[in-house]
Amino acid sequence: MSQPDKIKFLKNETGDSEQKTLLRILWGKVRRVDRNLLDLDKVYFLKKSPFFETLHKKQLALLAKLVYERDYLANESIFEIGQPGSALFIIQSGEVSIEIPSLQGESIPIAVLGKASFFGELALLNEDPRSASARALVPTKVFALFLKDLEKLSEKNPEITSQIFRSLASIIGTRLKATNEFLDKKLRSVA
Amino acid sequence: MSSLIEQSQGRKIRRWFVYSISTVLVLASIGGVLYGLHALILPFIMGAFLAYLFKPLTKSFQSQHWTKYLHLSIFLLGTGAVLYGLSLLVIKSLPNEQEKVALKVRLQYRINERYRSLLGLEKNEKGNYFYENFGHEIEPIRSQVMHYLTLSENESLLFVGSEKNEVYLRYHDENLKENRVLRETVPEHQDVTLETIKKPTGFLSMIMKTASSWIIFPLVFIFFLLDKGEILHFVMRLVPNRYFELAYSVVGNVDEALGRYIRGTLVECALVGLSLTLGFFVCGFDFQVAFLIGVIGGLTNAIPFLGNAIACLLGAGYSLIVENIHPWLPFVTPHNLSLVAISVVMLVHFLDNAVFQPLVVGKAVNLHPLVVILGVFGGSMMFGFAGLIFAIPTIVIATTVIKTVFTGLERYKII
Repeated sequence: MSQPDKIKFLKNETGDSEQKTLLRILWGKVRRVDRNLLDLDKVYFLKKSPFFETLHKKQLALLAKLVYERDYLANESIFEIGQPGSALFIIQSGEVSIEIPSLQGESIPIAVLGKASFFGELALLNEDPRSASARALVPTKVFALFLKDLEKLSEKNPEITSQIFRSLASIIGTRLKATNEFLDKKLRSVA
Repeated sequence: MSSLIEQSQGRKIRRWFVYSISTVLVLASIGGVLYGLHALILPFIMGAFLAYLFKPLTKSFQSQHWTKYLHLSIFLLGTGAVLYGLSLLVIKSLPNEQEKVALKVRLQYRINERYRSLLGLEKNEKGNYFYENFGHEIEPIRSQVMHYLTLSENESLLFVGSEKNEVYLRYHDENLKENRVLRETVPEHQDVTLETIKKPTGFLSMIMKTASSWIIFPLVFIFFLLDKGEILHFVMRLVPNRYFELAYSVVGNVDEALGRYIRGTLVECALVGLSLTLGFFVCGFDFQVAFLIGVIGGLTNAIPFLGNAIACLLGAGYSLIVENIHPWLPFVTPHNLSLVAISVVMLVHFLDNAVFQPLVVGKAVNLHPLVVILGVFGGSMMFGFAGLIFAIPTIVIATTVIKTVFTGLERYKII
């Protein structure tokens, strides 16, 4: 058995891509329950995200209580294209591949995101189906923030949500500008 | 390579064994604990339910500058003060010892009077058609009621010593005569008296037992009120990734449906209580009495069928004993007051079904009446009074979960 094969086998054996039983997942969850980051750590981490950089510490502390921590194994799907979108994800550690299916049905990666990056942000606008799939490339930890929680937060703290949505608008605007420039280049090259 | 595969297989089997045994042990322990502590389940649910009810109220005056403990203390003090004020108002409406005794005398006399006139037993008559056919069934019920209303020796002394109203003293004399007849005709009441003397010890121990179980109630209430989503986060961490977003939407939908139902029911109960109070007051009831019956009828209106029955019973009962009425409607007299009181309850019930429910509750519940009837009766048969209270909320939760789960499973491409 060659060394790479051995490593691949051991990776499978440790459960990185093995199909887990429901019982094993449940006990894994119970064991990991107390491994949450402290709220303060969450606050410092969220501050690094472009979404929340304008919020101050107390506002971030309120937001930290709303985010859910999730752990994904390597190759585990986070969400799939066409599923209803209800949460924004921020990568705490690990790597996530954003993919769209080709005409032949194979997944084409369109971006690989690392620590502190975010994806699924359109879910903060409405529950339209996801426009791409997201898959963890390595064991990955993410924070999930739901639109419904933000809506509840805005009832008492509209200034927090207004700043988040302003950031979202700015990010979407920047991406739209980049897409327009990309299309413009492509059109010019075709012409 | 083969040894590695064998090792892996061995670990797989051991893993399966460990997780299965642990699951069985934990489930058995949970089952055992639930069975052992079954007396605490109702107080626990009630505490959690009440906390859920009060949660929006606590959130409404939340401030970033207060700690949650200070915030909760202020909330509890405020709510306690309001509840204390309300209870004082209700207690003020309740009769004191002297009034209670006078009430018993009036009630006993009036019931006997109405009983005789309804069944044609006045002036030594032999009774009408109803008495001839159903008298043997009605008589024991009357005897039981009379036995409950008969004054004890101390009560009798208190009444004779304090009562100045000659009409009431005449009632008392009449009652004494009636009781003598009853004692001669129904000797089995001796046993009932002995039973009631024996009862207090059992009753006291029952109260002690109930109080010891309900001690958990305020703790659960405060614990759930202090919670700022930690319980939900804990539960969500147990959900596998594949079902994470689906589980969140199920919880959200249940919360929404239950919130809508509770808010709608509370407003509906308040409107029913107000209508009953106004209705009885217009018919000539004292305002205090009308308010008390309205409060009880409104509160119990949350339990389908029971609220109307209680309001009907209280309204008709009071109309039997009331001496002076001041009706705002010209056709209401002391003779037809019982009928008018029942009509008021029926009118409020009609208003509730035709106006309040569609307007306030709307489609928040949207349950078929047959489901409501079966749920309420089934719940009361299985879990008694608790089943009666929680039947509809449980059905609301179950229908929402089923609807959301199946729609979600398809939308998230799980099935």
